[in-house]
Amino acid sequence: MSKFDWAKIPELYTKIIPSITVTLEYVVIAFFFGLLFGGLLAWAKLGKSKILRALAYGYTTVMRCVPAIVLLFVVYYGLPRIIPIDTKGKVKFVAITLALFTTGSLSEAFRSAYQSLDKSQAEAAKSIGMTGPQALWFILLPQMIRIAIPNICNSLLALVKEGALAYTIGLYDLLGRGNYLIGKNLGAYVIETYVTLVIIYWPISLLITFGSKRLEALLDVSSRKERKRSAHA
Amino acid sequence: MLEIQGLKKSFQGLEILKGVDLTIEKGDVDVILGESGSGKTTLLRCIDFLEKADEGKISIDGITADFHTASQKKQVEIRRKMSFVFQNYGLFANKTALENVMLGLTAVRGVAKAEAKERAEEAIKKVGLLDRADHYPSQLSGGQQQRIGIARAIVTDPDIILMDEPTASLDPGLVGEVLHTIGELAAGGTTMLIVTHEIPFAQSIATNMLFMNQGVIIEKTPTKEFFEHPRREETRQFLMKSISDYSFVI
Amino acid sequence: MLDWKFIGNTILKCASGIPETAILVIVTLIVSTPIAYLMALVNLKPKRILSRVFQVYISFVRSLPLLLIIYLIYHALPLWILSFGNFIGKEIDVYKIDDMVYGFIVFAFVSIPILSEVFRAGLLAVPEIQIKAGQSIGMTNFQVARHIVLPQVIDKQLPMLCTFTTNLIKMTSLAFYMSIREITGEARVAAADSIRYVECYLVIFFMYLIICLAVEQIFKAFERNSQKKKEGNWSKNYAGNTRTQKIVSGT
Repeated sequence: MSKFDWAKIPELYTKIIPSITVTLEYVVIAFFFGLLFGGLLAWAKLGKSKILRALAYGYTTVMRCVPAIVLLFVVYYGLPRIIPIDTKGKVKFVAITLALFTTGSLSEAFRSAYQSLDKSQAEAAKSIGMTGPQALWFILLPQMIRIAIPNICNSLLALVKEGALAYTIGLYDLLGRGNYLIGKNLGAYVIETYVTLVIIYWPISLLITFGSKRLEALLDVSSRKERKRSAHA
Repeated sequence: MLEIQGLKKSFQGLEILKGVDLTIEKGDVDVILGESGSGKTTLLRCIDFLEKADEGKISIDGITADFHTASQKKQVEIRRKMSFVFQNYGLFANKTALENVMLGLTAVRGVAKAEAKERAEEAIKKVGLLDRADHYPSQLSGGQQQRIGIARAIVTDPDIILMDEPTASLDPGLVGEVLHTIGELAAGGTTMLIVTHEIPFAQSIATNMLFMNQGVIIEKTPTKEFFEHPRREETRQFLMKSISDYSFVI
Repeated sequence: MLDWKFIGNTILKCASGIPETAILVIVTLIVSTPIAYLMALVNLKPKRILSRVFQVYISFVRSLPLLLIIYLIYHALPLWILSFGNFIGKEIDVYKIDDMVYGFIVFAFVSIPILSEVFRAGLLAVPEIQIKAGQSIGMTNFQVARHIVLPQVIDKQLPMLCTFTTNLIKMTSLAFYMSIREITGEARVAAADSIRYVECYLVIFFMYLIICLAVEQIFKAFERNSQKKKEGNWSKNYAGNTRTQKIVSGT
């Protein structure tokens, strides 16, 4: 048994870290489409159409119940059979799978944020002559975003974590790159490689969590006033 | 039967109880009066070890302990000699009324289920709620919850029942039923130590009246005498303020 | 066209992995629950040193991809066991340890912090008077925990426990990477044998869907049961009672 070699970690780190672009690529794409379709889905859930509502909830239920890796395989092997799509750029399959998932969870974040709003807010907006869209844009949405931020950031965190499944279809993101190096080193420095990955992934997640808390505090109007007042005092 | 000596208790540097001495004889119903903040509730909670006192001795039914050094085991042993009725009822939210009353027998004292059920039903009958026995606390009114709380307190046949403002959380309309239940217990010879603001009620059931002022019991007097000839100036002031048509003889 | 006979066979093959999935989930729950509960009790006082250690552990599991944690433990654990064996002067054959044992360890390792946070939130929601009332009828602290606190925590956190259980079922789909042939493992083997990937993965897609929906329904049944305690049919019992109307209206 070889001893754990700390000295190896910086080298592994510099070899793995460039692959963060791959991880970022699927995370950013999936997050963008997740926000877009998640918003639409939330709108369907809150809307009047019974059919749309049932479809939206049904979709969320399916995404809640199926493991990410299974959906990834279905997308990866199934999609090229339905539409002509190049199977070489594997990152798009990961991005699509993650977008499908995060659409479900973000739609729930938006829906619950909307429903937690005080009804009087919309009424008050209308009472001063705002149209529906105006009320949504100026009054409801800003309040909703603050309430939804913890859930949105949780979805983002889940994207980073679930994204590591990309390696299972052979994409060289962070984890994939690490496993590739293990293969190249003929199975040497296994533990060192995974510890390096811990050192890479952990700060990313902490950053998202920290950002979530900061953003929430920043958007919290009532506490902002408090802070100003105490700063003067 | 119950004897407390030199009970002291501070919260964050503020001394709430400044050395309380107290004796209660078997069969007595003693009522503590006093301004809010004088330490009445803290006193009861300390006696039952629900609050940890800083100093003092307790002796009940031959068991003696120091409040601040009593072991967990000793605390439990002493608690099992007493029962407590809370201001906010404190019924177990996850148990039906019957289960609330039975638990002290089955879980704590190892009484067989059938016997425990019989005794619990008897206790619930005494408080007049047998038809609500299978209801959960959230399905009962405040007055009913408190009556079940009293049933839970009497079912174990304790040496003494401590009652902490048993009617203070109730709507005015529901106070009567609870006072009636307590009155029946008093008539049946149950030993009780009660903190309450219901002065006429106290007058009608108490053996002795205790007056608490600034963390000490300054007076313990038989009820009739207490209202007719209060010994202390503080007591007089309090009674004058509390009872509109109060008059006393010095 | 779909080959129904092939799909039928695949369903049977993948279903043969259900016991492994179930054992993984159930053993993990049984092992993790008491440990997580104790951890939650410690974490009620966040300034304790032990609690700070636990917070790092919680952050570790929350922050890292499950697949990475699996790889790490799966590779590091045998070495630790070996050196532990050397330490106590005994030779342990790590290759004789069943893969399922690794599965239990990995899934318990990731479940404990999540469950402990669920329990902690539940514990914070139990009013102090419930504990004091338990003590007042002479219960020991253990009896209070068993008869009063624990049932109320579980009642309160049933929805969170449901979410956790379905998540755990989904997590076990990665047990294949520890050579465990649970549902996903069987599907991968079936897919590799037949080269009909889509069919195989669609089969387990629906299999997981049905299993998770069933688990959710079981939890819902429990929730309905506990809902009775929380709300009850209070007003119905008191219909026509004028005194009650006063209470209901909150005066």
